[in-house]
Amino acid sequence: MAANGEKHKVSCAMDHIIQAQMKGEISEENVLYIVENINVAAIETTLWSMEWAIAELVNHPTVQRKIRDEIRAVLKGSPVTESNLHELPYLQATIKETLRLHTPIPLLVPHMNLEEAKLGGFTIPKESKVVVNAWWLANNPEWWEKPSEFRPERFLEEERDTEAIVGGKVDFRFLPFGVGRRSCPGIILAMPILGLIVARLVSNFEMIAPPGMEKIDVSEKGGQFSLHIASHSTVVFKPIKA
Amino acid sequence: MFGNWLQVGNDLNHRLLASMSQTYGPVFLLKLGSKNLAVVSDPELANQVLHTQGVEFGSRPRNVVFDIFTGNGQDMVFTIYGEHWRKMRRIMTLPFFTNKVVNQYSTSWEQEMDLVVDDLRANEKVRTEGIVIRKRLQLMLYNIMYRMMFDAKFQSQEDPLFVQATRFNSERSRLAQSFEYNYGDFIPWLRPFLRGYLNKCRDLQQRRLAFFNNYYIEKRR
Repeated sequence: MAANGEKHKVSCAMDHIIQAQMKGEISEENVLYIVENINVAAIETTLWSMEWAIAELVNHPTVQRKIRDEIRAVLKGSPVTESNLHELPYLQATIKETLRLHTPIPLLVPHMNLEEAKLGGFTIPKESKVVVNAWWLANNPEWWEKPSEFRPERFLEEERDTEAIVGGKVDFRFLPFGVGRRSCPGIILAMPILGLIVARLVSNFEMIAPPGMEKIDVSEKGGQFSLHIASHSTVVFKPIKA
Repeated sequence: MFGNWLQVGNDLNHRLLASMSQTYGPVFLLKLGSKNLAVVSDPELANQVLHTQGVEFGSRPRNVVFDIFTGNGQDMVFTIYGEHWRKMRRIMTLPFFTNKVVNQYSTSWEQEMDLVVDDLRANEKVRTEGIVIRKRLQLMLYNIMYRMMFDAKFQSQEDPLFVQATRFNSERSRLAQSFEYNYGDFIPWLRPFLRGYLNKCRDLQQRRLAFFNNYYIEKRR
C-alpha cells in the first residue's frame, strides 16, 4: 500500500492518474475504469492490426521486399527507431493500407444523440445508435481504385495526400481512428508501434506461409465492434543474415 | 415490436450494412425492437456526425452489457459526452497520448520488439514449421502498455499474472462482443431472460477489476 507514500512520486502513467484522484478530480472507481479502458481499447485492437499486417505481408512478398529495400536505402544499416519512421514512406503506406482494408473497428465506436437531430435531410430520433461505416468509406469502389486489393503503393500514388489523422485536414473516406472529439487518442501510440514492429520483423526475417501452404487465410470474423482475422496465422520466420 | 430486427438479423456487420446502403442510401434508420440504429455510409455525412455536429452526436449508446463493463459510464471510451468525459480525456491524455510520452517510451517499445526478434531467432521450429505469432506479440504489447501504465512487465507467456490478465480481458471481450444478448437489449420485456448472462458479466467484471486493483494499482499508491 505505502509503496509510493505521501510524497507521491510520479514516473508511470498510473502515478499521474492516482495524483488526479488525490487532488479530488476523479474517483477511485474512475481510476479502475481507466485501467479497464486501456486493457481493452489499446492492447487488443493494436494486436488485431499486427496480425492483419503480418498476414498480408506473408501473402505479398514483394511488399516485404520493398520495405526491406527502403530501410536499407534510407537508413544504411542503422536501426529503425521512432525518430526515423517518417523517413520511410513505403512502410507508413503499408500500415495505412492494412488499416484501410482491415479496419479493426469497422463501424467505429457507436455514437448517440441525446436529443432529436437532423442528418442528410433525415430526422434521427433522440437516443439513436449512430454508426459510421468507416470500413465502407475506405473500401467503396466508387471512391477507391480496386479497393479489395492490398496495395500500399496507392498511398504513394493516387492517394498520396490521404493521411491517418484525427483532426485538421481530414479525408473523410479514411477514418480508421475516427475523427473529432470522440476519435481514438491512441493513434499517437498505435501508428509508431505498428510501424516499428513491422520494420523489425521485416528487417530480420523473411515471413512465409507454413509448409504445404501457398497463402495465409485472411477470412474475417466480426463481433459487435471488432474485425479480426478468423484464424490466427501460423507464420514461418526465416532469419535474414545481417 | 421487433421492427426490422427479424428482417436484418443479429450480425449487423460492416459488409451487410454496406450492401444495405446501396439500396437504402447514404443514411438509413433501422428499428431494432425498441432501439433505433442510424447507419452512415457517406464521407460528407460522416463529417457531419463526427465533426460539424460532433457535440450533438458525441454521446455513446448504452446497453445492458456495457453498463456493467463501464460501471454505467464511469470510464472514458463509452461514457456520454459532457463534463465527466472531458475531464477523463484530459486526465488520460497527459500520461498516455502526447508526443512527450512517445519520446519517453519509444526506447522501451523497441526493447520489447528486440526481445521478440531474439525469441524468434532462438527457436529452430520457427524457421521450419512456423508459429502462431499472435501469442508472442500479445506478450510484447502487454509489456509495452504495462511498462507505460505501471512500470511493470511480465516475464513470459507462462507468467501467472500474464495468464490471468489475458484470460480476464479475453473473457470480457467475448461477453461484450457477442451477439447473444441483443434480444434482451432490443426488447425490454425479454430482459429477465438475460439475467444469467448479466450475472456472468458482473461476476467477471468484479474479479477482473479486483485483479487490476490488487496487483497493479495499489502497488503505485
